Amino acid sequence: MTTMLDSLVTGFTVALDPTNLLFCTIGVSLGTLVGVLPGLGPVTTMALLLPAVFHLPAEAALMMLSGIYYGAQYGSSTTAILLRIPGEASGVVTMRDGHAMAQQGRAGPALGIAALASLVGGLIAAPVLALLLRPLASLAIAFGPAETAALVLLGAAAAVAMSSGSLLTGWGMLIAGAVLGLVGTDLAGGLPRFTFGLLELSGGISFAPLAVGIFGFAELIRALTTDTGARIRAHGSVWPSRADLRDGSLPALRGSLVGSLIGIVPGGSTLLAALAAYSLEKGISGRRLDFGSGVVAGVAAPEAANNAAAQTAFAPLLAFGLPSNAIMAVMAGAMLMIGIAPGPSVVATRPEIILGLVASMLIGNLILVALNLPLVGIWTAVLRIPMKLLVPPIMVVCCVGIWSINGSVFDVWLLLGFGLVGWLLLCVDVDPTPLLLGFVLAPIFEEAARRALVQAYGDWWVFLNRPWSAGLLAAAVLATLLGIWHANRKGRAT
Amino acid sequence: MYIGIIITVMGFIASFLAFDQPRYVPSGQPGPGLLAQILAVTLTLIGLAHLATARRNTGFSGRGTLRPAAMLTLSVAAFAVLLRPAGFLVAASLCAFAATLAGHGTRPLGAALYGVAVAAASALLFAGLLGLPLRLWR
Repeated sequence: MTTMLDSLVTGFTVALDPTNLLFCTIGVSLGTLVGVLPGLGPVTTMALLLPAVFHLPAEAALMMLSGIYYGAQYGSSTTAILLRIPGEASGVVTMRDGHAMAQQGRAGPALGIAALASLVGGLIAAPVLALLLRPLASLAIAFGPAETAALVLLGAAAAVAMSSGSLLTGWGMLIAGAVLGLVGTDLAGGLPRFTFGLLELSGGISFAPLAVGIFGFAELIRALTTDTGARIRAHGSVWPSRADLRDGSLPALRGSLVGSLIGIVPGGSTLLAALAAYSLEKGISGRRLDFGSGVVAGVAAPEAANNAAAQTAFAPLLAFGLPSNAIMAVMAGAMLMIGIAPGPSVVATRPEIILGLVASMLIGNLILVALNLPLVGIWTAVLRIPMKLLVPPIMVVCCVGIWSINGSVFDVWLLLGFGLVGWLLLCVDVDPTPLLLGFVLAPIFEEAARRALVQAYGDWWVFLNRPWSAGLLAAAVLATLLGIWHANRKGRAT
Repeated sequence: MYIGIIITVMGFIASFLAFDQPRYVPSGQPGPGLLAQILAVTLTLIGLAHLATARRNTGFSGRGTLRPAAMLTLSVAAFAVLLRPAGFLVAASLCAFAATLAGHGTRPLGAALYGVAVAAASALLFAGLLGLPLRLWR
């Protein structure tokens, strides 16, 4: 107990140092800003700031970079809720109910619930990370590639089950997205795949042109078409009501736990965490048929989960030196640049850095809410601006954001191509969410499945022989069957 | 029915490309074609199933969206075409100009002035505040 208290005091002493506090604030503010701007994600921002890292103390540099990451998760929900444009992949899940709430004139409560749920996620995940760093990372290591592949399949099945269209269309969109996710040079054979001989496609398709094109472009067209000059008026307070807080509290707690657990699993992204939390809420809720039409739990659970996962994703990196996603890879690079090799040795030899980082996450989350809650009224006012005035700056921001990822004009053309696909899907009334999820999940699935097969000498039974993997696959089948049952029931109801 | 056609066409193109890839690499490891072929065939089958079960009267509701779709297409295309040869300010001005005209009841002069204002504010944000290496003009 004394050791724990000592650790706590050490962590907060480091995190509350004025310089560290300043860079933590800069990090979460920048993170919120890049989360709000579609395309300009945390990876780009962190990469752009890497040269500055050289000139900062190690603790301040790491606190700033981690603040960008979890700040971006929150910022992403703002545009997802207001404009149906997710700044980050995990915003896709929040977007469903969050944007529906905004369309009902409840953008303020949706943003408030997102901020508070993110805070709950952060406050729960930081102690989880501190207390269970070593044991949880050991468990994550035991979670092999077969389990990761099965977890991805479960995420995919849950995504299709929760999509608003028919299951067949949902699976079609998911697999179409997966095909797009495989575009690029294959890592095993080094051969270009689905590239049509274009050099620009050899590195694959970036997430931003696809997400902004499919969702943003189509949504702007829809908004301009239906823009009659009548603005969406806020109903009542811009703050969440007591009923909203009551409806969102338990989902936020459950989402925090789900997110904390998924974050520590290699390959368990913030998107998977948000998806799992949303599916869990939908599964246990008595109002599951209302999900997608503006349910508070549909905002609280994924927001808490994605923020929690963003923080516990540090566990494999800090304890074993394993970056579990692109952002953690940039983080590992930054640590190496400032002379800290991520891994067990840093936990043993520089505990003040780790404890300070964890404490800064607690403080950073409080700063995020203090920064963002007062802005709820301003963000909500965005909806009162006529669409024809709002669309031009959005288009410029999207184009610049997407160009800035690789400095590539080709990515802007991709934005246009996917925008037209999004428009076609809008015209035939198809929900494109599974397409985006398939795109993100396919490379993770392929890598995990390939590694599992190599380790098992090509034996496909490896996915059923391991209990965790078999359990997750069974859950995926169950999610699909529930989806079919739900679709049939809905069919009968209509 | 339209979505069935889109999925089937995508499935056929993906199959055509995927079956050029080896399922296993010489070392015996799964190759680039394995998952690609499984996905391509599944996509084609889903598309065909969709076509077989679709009702013919499921419609295309995009007629009212043609003007904004065309203007936003022009907006992105203007940015992509002009960014390198003319610089950011010209590309962003024309991008915002076309996007402003996507809305109903906008006059070209007002749209042009608004486009220039949006471009200037964007330059301030991206080049000034965020420090992106943007070339503002040629």
